[in-house]
Amino acid sequence: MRRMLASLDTKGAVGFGLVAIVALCAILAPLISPYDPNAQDLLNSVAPPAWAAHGAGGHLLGTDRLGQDVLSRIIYGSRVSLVAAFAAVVASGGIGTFFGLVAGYFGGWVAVLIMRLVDIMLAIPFILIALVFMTVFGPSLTNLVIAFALARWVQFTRIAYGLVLEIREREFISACITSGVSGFDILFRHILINIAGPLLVVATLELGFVILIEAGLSFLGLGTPPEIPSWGGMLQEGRALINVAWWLTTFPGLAIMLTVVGFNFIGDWMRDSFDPRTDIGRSISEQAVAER
Amino acid sequence: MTALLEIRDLKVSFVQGKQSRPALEGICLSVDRGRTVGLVGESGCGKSLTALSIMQLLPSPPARIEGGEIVLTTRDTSRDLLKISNREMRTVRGRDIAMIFQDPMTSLDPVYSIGEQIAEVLMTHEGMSRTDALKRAVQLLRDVGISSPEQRVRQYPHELSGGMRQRAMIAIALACKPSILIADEPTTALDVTIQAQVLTLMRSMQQSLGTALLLITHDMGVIAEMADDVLVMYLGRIVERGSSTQVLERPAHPYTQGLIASLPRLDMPQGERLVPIQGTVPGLGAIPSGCRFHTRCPHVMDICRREEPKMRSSEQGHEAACWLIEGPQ
Amino acid sequence: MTNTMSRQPLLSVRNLSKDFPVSRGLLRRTSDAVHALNGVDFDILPGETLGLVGESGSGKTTVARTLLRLVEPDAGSALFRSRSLAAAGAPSEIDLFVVGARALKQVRRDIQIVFQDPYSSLNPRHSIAANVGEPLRANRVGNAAERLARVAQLLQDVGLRPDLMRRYPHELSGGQRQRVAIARALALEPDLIVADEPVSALDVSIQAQVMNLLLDLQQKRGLTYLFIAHDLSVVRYMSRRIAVMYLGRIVEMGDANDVFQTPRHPYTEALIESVPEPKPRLRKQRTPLQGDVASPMRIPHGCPFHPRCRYAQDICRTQQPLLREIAPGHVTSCHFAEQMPHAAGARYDAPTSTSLGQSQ
Repeated sequence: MRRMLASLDTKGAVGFGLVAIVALCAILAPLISPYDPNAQDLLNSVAPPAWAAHGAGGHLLGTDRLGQDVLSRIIYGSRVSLVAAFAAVVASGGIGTFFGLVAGYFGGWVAVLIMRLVDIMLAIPFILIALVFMTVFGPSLTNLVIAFALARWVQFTRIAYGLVLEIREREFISACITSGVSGFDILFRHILINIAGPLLVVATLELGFVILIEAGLSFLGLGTPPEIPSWGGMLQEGRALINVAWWLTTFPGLAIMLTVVGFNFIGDWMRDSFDPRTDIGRSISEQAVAER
Repeated sequence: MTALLEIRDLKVSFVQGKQSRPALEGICLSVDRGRTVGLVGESGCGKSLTALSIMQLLPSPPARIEGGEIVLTTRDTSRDLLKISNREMRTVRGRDIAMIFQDPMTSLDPVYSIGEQIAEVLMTHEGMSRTDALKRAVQLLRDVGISSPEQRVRQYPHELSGGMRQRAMIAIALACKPSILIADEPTTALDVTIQAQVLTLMRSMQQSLGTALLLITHDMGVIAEMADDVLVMYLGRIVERGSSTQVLERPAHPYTQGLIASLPRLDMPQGERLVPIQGTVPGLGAIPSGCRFHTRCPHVMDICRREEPKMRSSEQGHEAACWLIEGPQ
Repeated sequence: MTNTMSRQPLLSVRNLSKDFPVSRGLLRRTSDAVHALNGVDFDILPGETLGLVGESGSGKTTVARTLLRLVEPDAGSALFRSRSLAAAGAPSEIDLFVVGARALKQVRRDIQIVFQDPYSSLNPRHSIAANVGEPLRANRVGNAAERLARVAQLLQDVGLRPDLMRRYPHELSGGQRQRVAIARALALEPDLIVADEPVSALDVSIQAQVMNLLLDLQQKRGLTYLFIAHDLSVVRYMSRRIAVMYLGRIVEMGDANDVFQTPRHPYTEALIESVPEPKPRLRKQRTPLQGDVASPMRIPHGCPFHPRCRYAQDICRTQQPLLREIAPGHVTSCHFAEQMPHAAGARYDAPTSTSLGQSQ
């Protein structure tokens, strides 16, 4: 771990930086947000950013139709995005990894059942599942997390299954069996820890994906209710005024993009660190050998 | 008569970021026409690196050639392989110098038949047509003792056993009748009865084609079977050289002595213990001062810790880099 | 030396057989099988080392895996005298292949295995202490502190500094890792250790160290070894008795000296002749064994070795020879064993002084 952090390259550093900014926004929202995100200032509605032409003073990124400050809404919107992302990924990752472990280790009809289910789920586009789910059960953040957990677990199962198949043949697993280690312990003490790396990479990429989906659903009106500021919702609100108020869609869009890019960069860096064939991965493993 | 291949003072290091570690130092080696030279040592000693350096196949980065010459003398011209262009080197590989590796499964291309792989060498270096090359491939497979060569020539590597794959590799290597064959652990991955077959094959092909052989291995028994001259390597340096009889029966360097004493032999009396070399090979980052072997040497003296010994002769044609030897330098 | 004849075997294997089905085609129909083991019989006496030698396809690794129940055999029995079961009040001699799950967990404390590859036999994400202590933890031996102390002791017993406990496998060399694997195998104080090619992946100088370690441990703890290897010299060094396997059967078995000095099976003779000895003046002019190692999917009729045997006669092609005693304690399965060894075969006279540097 220590060695991995030492090998942080530009891309990884940028990724961590971006995500750190978003996280700080989410955590410190009440402290750093210039206005209450729901405070309406109808006199100043649809005002351009302070530094642009005809800008309203005091609103760094402008205001929307109800005079709410765009910057504050973006800062608060990070909460929605991050909460949705982490909840959804933890849920889907937990379910998916569990199924992958079970399928990979026990094989037989259990594995066949699980993997055929995975194949079926993969064939259906997630956005369709999400749309249907939200329409039937109503739009809300909780429902989005549930929809995600129900559909995206397959991403983790697929990866975990293959990894377990490979790890299970290694001799240290045979050594555990002959020493009397229980199946449960083998799965969760020995195998899980060895497949965690690639799964974490999948998780970071999924984080970006959730944010995009959430934004998309909110854009379609199926996301969070309008009182709660969300980036996707802002996009939807700004769409009608896109010709006259470019700032209403540009800034939330940028926020989404930079957050997703941040997670992707972190995911890429992690993947490179784990793979001894890439330059980063090789230098990490070589250092370990040299230190011995 | 000049040697066919002569390496003078080869120096190679590994570069990692800003650090540079010496991997090979002062390697001097010569191979005469038709002779077999054995390069023996344990893992990490640099024997494979030496072979790759000759073929200019070093992964660079991280390896970097720091100095020395590798002179190949064929058809009355001498060339320093370290200085010629990539294009010229490609004409050397396969035609003047050929190489076979340890693992025949990964050394052969799984998507081409073995006939096609042999033919490729012939078409590249001798300008043969495909039809002619494939005919010659059948003949070569017969020469290396593969039965039913007409059928086998169309088969793919995964359809052959380990021994047959290694024979196919030998066929590819010797297709253009190179002057030197470099064999890097050619039989280590094979069963012992198949190993015997392949070694016998290599010896007979060598005799009929007059090819010189540079044989790299960690197995002293294979060296005894095959090599005329032997060089022993340790931590990137050559520590002993001589004829195989001299080195194996009267080893002069404590490392060689230790290696031979570590080998279990079929005729050992029951109950006699091997005497292993104590300690382990130091990593490349922690090369000992003075004589590199001093940390593990049972006869270590003060001077061994301070100064690196040069090669000294213990008998005619036999020298070792050890302070214990009193012969001329 | 104690009279081994009068002692009861620790392990008695009879008629061990195992086929691995091979499925081919789109519908994965089982069309073929790898006949890995075809009726293997042997005994191991307490405190001795039985060496099992053979090339690829001989089935020697499958023997190890079935004994440890990593693979289920198709037929056969393995009677084992388990100290742990006796301590628990159960009948001490059981058949390893039929014993139930709970008893198996007890029995597993008495049989342990050391694998070939020191890189994959340790969990790369657990510390050395966790790796060596895992058998203790799984069997609830002592509390955490006691286990750590035991791990420290085990590491010392295998010649490693106890402070290596905190390191991780990738920080250790191959030889050190193999010692750790041995320490782990000793954790539950087994009676029988199955060593499956334990030194094949190590450098020559480390091989000798680890082999000597195994011999020392055997003397100190009264261990019994089933030592599996493809290298004849290594097997000879470690074992008092040797069994030679070919295509899933034992073709010759007996005292190591007897087998190597007077081989009674053509395959044993061929194996001995194939071994390159580090004696240049003894360069052999013999003809090596013809043909490839036969595939365990297509075992020849009659004597399985006949296609490669230079002495094969008609009877060898039709009738499979049974394992029979040719001399006290020495069994072989060749129709013409009485005529073995042939003149070319007996190369090894009684061992004389072997001080280094003496030329033959």
